[in-house]
Parts: sequence; C-alpha cells; structure tokens
Amino acid sequence: MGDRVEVELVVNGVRRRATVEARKTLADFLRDDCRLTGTHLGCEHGVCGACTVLLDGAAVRSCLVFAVQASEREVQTIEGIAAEDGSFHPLQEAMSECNAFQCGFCTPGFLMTALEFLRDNPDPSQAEIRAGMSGNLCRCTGYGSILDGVHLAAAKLRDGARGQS
Amino acid sequence: MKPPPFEYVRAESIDDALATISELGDDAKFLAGGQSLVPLMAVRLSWPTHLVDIAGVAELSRIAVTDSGVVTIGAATLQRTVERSAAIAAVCPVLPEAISHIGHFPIRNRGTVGGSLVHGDPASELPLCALALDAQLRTRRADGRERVVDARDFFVGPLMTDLEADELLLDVRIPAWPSGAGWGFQEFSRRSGDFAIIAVLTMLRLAPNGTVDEGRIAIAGAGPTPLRPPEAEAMLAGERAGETLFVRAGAQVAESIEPHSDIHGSVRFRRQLAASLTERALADAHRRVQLDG
Repeated sequence: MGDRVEVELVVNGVRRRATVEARKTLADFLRDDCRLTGTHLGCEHGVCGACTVLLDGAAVRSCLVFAVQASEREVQTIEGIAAEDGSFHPLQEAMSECNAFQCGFCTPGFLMTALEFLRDNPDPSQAEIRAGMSGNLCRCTGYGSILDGVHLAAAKLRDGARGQS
Repeated sequence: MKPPPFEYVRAESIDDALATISELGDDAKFLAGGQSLVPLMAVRLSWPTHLVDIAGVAELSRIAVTDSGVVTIGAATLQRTVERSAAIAAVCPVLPEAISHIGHFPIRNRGTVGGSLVHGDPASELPLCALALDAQLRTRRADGRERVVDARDFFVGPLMTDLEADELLLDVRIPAWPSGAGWGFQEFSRRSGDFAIIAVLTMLRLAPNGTVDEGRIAIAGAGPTPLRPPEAEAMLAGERAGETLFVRAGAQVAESIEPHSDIHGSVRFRRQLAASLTERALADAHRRVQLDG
C-alpha cells in the first residue's frame, strides 16, 4: 500500500468503495466521498464529539479514525438511524420533543453517542446520562435539554422493547 | 487540522509489523487505536512518514488471567475490553475502575492499553496503573530480541519511554493482587473524562493487628512521569492504618512531589490536591481491606 489506499466499507447498509489518501479520516470520507454531511466536524482532534459515528456498533470519533482503518467494516451515521419509511428513531423523536438542540451542530454526535450508551444501559440514572454524554460538547450550552432528551429516549426505547416482546 | 500525508501499511502479524518498521526507519510509527497519535498528527506535532497499523494483529489483543490472578494484556487490546472484562474485574478491580476515567467511552472504544502505555502521558491512568501494580512490559525488536521492562524503568519523561523506535510493546503483565489487600483510586479533573490534574492509586495490606504490612501510593500528574513517592510509602509500613496515618502520608506526598504550574492549577493547588486525594485513596483502600482468615 502507499499514500493512496483502497477502502471498501458498508455505510448505513450501502457498500462504498473508493481510492483515497491514507490520511483521509473516516469523517472526511463520509462527508466528501459518501456525501453524508450529517456527520459534523467540530474540533478535528477528538475533543468535541460532533463527528461520532458507530463503527461495527461502537461509538467512535470519526475524525480520529482513518477511512482505511474502517475498511471492511460497518459504519452507521446519523443518516442511517431513521426507519426506512423516513419515520424518526425513538431517540430522534425524544430529542425533538425535548428541544434537545439549539443550533443543532453537535446534535448528530450526541445522538450517535446516545445510541450506544442507551443500548448498553437502557435504564440510566441522571448521573449516568451526564457521564455518558460528557464526551460531547455543545457550544450553545444546551446541555439541560439534551440530557432530558436522552432520558426520555431511554423511556421510549424501553416501551418500544416491551411492545415488541 | 488534517493529519499530514503518510504511507499506510497494515501489519498481518507481530513479525510482519517488526520487519516493516525496521525497514522503514525512525520516522515510521506503529498505529493502534490512534486516540493519542492521530490528535498529535492533526495538530502537526507528529509527522510520521509511514504508519504501520497493528490494530488487526490478533496475537496482540489477548487477555489471559491465570488461576493465581496474574493478568496479561496484549498491547493492542482495547481499553473498553479491559474495562468490561469480568475476569480482570474479579482479580484486579482497580484496573477497570481506573480505565473508566480515560477520556470518554467513544475514546476507550478505540484506545488500546499498549497505546496509552507507550504514549507515556504523565497524567494518564494506564501508566499510573502499571507503576502502582508493579507491571512488567514485554517488548520485541525486529531481530527477535525480547526484553521485559519493569514499569518503574519504562516511563522516563513526559511522553518519553524506554522503548526504541523499532521496538514493539507486546503485552503488559500484572502480578497477582496481594491477598486481602484493598485498593483506592481517586482522580480530580475539571470535567468527567478530561486528563487528570492529579490521580492517585493506593494499595494497603494489613497485619491482623491492624498495622500496615505493605502500602503503595502511586500518583499521576505530579511530575514528568507517574511517581511512587518512596518516603510516603515507607511511612506507612508498620503503622496503624487510620485517618491520622493517611493525613501524614498525604502531607508527605505533597512535600515530595514537584508538580508544574499551568492554567489548570498552580503548584500549591496541585500539592494540596495530591495530599487530599492520597488521604481519600488510602481511606478507600482501608475500607476495602479484607483481613485474611
């Protein structure tokens, strides 16, 4: 391999192939090559969490993963969480109901972080939500409503899980 | 904020990784989770010509726990895997607790145990654990030579370790936790997940009469590497465990360290913090002590 590399990965269920610079981050690959601009870049060195996506189901900073490192793996972005008919994921519904955003720039990263957080901890305490979301920054400081949104989403997802069983 | 150009090589095995790095020379680096290296590249403090990706080398991401409680963790094991390992929690619960303070869970989802050790940040948790737990680090070079380095000798300065450029950390071995010993871990940072301003890890083992058989104090954020203040540790042995002793040990720690001053805190603040956190971590260890029999 060299400074240009072949990558092939599955993004939101769609197989994507490209030849990119080795230094291209997964975040830039998603935005530039896949045209999935829902993944936002804030700090570009791992501090703000705006670029969080799921890599094989695990929340990661896509600015700290090279696209080539994600090759042959599955990525889920904010564009991939609604149902096929376009109806919102319960997490999206909950965040919307709680006005859990101001400018909305940090929102995709918060949602992708919350997806893994709630999968691991379906009934979190307020303190656990606060700690779980602490890796994401909101420059509007809209944290109160964001934490409320995650709390409501936990309840909706638990209800949904009960409804299915 | 984009990383500089480099050539990428994916290593298939330990031997492959070592052969590649020795061929490429000093400006090539190993890449595992990238949670420390990629930010350094993004802010152009690191400019490797080649990255040799070892994240997929299965031999480097194994956890083994023996019946006697000796833990061996492969260098490329994810921090999150150790944090969630029931086998490790059963024999060395302080390790998952300390790891839970590294960054945030999306960082621990990518960050590796070896990556944090070889990065050698004096305020980070895994070097502190390695030092406190008397860990041994096993390394190999391209010519096949292996070394076992005590954690005490591994960290030589801020972001500096004893590792050569063509030397790969294979695994870290943590001796069995002493029978009946209690542990304490205390960290202060400005925000959950931020780098520690001061972190302290303690161990206490008591004689049946309540005096200290063995006591350890390790501290991060108080100097160029994690530290074991010898005077404070020596002060514990043979003394009756309790608040009076812990306050004295905290004061001794504060006196023996030479912390730096920066925007996050003055030297005086760091000394006071070190004293308080040492007291608390010793009290936690005391609470967790189980007397044998």
